[in-house]
Amino acid sequence: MEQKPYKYNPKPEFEERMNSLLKNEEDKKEFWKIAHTEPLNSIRCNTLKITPKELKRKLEEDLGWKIKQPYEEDYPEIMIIENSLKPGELGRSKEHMLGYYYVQEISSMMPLLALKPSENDSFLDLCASPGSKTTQAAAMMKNSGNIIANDNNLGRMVVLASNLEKCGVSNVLIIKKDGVQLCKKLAKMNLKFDKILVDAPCSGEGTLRSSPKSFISWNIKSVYNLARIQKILAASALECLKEDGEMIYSTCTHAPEENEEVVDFLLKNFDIKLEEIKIPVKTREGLTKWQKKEYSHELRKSARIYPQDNDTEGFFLCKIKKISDKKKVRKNENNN
Amino acid sequence: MLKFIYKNEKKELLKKLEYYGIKELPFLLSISGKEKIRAYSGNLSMDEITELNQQIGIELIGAYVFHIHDEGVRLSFDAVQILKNQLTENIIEISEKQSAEFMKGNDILLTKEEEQEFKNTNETKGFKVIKCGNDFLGTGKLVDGRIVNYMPKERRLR
Repeated sequence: MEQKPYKYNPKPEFEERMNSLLKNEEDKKEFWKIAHTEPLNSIRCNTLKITPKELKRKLEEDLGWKIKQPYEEDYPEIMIIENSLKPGELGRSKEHMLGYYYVQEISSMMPLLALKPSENDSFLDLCASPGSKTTQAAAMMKNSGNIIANDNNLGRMVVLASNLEKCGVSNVLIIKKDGVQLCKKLAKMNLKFDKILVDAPCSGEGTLRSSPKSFISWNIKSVYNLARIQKILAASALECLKEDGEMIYSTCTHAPEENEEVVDFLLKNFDIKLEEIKIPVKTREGLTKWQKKEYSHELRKSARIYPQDNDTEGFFLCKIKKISDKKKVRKNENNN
Repeated sequence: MLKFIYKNEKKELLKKLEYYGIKELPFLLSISGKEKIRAYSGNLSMDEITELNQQIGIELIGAYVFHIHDEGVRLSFDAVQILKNQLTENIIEISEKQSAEFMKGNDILLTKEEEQEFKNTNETKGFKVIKCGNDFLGTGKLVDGRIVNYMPKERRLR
């Protein structure tokens, strides 16, 4: 591929990997073109404090913003500001300070739309900071049920607490623990959840538009390291899921090692199944083959979100249903 | 340390909150830090939360809603929105212009007419809920012709 006049360019290995994930030349061209553009200004109305209709009126009349609701019928809370804004303007308005909306990228809203936590559910958000999905869950649950929001870093936990406060979230317990350790303790207490979100720390390949520095920071070693951590984290979370409970495993990266491979590992070790995902953006089926590895055909039910398909960031999500607490005994282990 | 507010204490608190017209608090209340009250609306019981705290450790519960002062109870910036449907008393309506200053963290100086108006309604001093149009902007304290601002620093407009 010819050198482009961009501030940041992808490392050759990353470029090669991405190209082999994409369909054809046109698809590749569109991906690399959009990867160098800024993302849309999207927000989510915080329905704990204001209705989408009232917020739209305020933003249009008081601030003169042009608001589009791309999925108005089913998800009026999702809004795009169509006019150009000054840097930081979204986070400086009175409406933002009052917690009427949360600045959130559209693809990052999808895990909760797929998980659908409802009133009276018990919900665990294992890697919760900065709180975009926890606040979304609280709004969907109408501040009822129970949310445990966890993050293992003090600085990130402070940001999480501040965002939950701003959004008026009151059905939450905030915990600062290593995710794996927390799940072990919860399982020991036999405290299990109806819904779990594992929005795992990842290499961030899907966030090139908002964080172009990811072009520079990307390296294959961290992809492999993260994949190892993600498997342990997701497996630990499954131990805390009720039978018939649902878990979303998601990342903001495209790397199959951090996505399908993690879920394939869970399918091989736990009595679970994957569920179809119904979300309002265009998605592509998860992979069943990557390089020399083959994954379960069930992975087709997972969803890949590419930036060029919806003018969003990139994302991966998979909806897992726990059938029973039984663990699968793998053949090679059985033979030993 | 986790400290809950039990039935009798909650009754006492509710009496103080009648000042704002608040008649019910459908929350589990706990005290965090110095006289800061937090409200939890989830469905875990006091016993379940206590056990969870003992086994795992809870950093924060629910939302920060009140601060108890010698002069009365001050509602937090977000509590006025959480409880807005119950607020009927001790509300001061300010103008858009005053609201812009208040959101920056500045005190509001009242005009003589405004001061007189408050005197007529016996709203001479104490904590007041600040409202502008349909927006509840937290609580201020009316003292000597000015509304003292309690807007949290991180929520002020710059």
